Amino acid sequence: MKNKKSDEELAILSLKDKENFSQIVNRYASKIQRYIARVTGNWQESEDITQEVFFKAYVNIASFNPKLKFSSWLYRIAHNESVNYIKKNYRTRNVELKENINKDLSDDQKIFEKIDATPNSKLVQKTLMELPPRDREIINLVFFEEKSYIEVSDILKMPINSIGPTISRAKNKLKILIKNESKT
Amino acid sequence: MNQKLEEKIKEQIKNEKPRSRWYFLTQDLSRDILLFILWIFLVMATGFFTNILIDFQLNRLKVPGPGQFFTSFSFFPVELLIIITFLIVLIYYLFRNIGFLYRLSSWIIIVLIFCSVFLGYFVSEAIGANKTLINSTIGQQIYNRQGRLLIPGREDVVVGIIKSVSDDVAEVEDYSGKIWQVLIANETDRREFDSFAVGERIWVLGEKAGDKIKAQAVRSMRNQPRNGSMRGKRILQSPSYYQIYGNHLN
Repeated sequence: MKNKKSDEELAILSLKDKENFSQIVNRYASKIQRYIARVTGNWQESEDITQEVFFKAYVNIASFNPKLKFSSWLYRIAHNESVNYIKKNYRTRNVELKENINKDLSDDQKIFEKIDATPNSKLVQKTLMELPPRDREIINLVFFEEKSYIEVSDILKMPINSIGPTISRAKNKLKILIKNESKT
Repeated sequence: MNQKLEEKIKEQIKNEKPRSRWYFLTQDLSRDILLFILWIFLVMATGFFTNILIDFQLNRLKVPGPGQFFTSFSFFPVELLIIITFLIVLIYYLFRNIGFLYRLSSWIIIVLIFCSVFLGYFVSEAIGANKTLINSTIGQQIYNRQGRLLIPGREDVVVGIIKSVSDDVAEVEDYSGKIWQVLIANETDRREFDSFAVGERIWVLGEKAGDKIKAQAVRSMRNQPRNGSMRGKRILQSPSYYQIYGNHLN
């Protein structure tokens, strides 16, 4: 049986053989799409953004620094693309967000399988989207993508020691939002 | 759905080629060189402005006393402080973009900046870069304008180099080349005026009339590379309002 190559090995080999990058695509396409959907709050657009992420990753694969985890590097590209999307669609996003959230995201069981396990899943999904993008992203990376603090630091380019307090603040905001939402 | 997405991605990159490693190596190298030059420039600029700020603050013509609260503020070099803060913020963002420094706490980066500026200060003092900068056109302009770049300098102040000196008159050339006769009287707060030498930079507060200025207070400004012991000797207690203007309450 063949040894399964690590992401980092595949990334380096992708320069020679495109097939290696295809394996990366198979491993990460759905994860990256989920992540983008959660950050941007738009499932339909997430597909196009994901394609753009992998296109950029492939073209710039030689710039990957092996000192980093490959997934962190890929998520960093996804983060940049998501932020660009949010900036471009800032005005229209908030209007679309609430309409899309229940319609699109809750249909995909994989996306919120953890949240769905909780009794107030839809409420949490909705309020999560009302958090500021940075807070939402940290919650997504830590709780849904299960990234370590170092990985989050590499993805968002923020100090490791400020991740804990940011998560704590984001959770408190989430609690308040849920409380307000359940009152109405 | 996801299968379709993966196929789409593979289709999209089918005819694409990754950029070569050389492309990124040269890009990274030029970026690093640029960052290094920028770092040197920022550290030297911060050291330079801090140096001038310290000069003005330690030699300031503070005039505290009744009704003089705002007067003392008018000597405060706000613009220099803003420039220094701006440069430190720039250095902070520069540090955050070097390697994996973004992982570090902001406080560690701030400590690194201070170490960097202090190191830069001592290095530039040692190689004479600081003195050259201070005596350059821009440095002289800053002194000439009493540390103000946008706000006009005080009308009752002259900053310049001593051309000749006697017991009660000093000839001072300001940075526009104008020669001022600085008239020293008994009531002038002069600190160590008697020991002032030709070539020394001084700061005079007084009443101007033509090319004469009747000095109320005179201070020496550093004209030599500074060290702690010299600074301690040079800087005395600030004069009080009464020492300069006399006690009008009597």
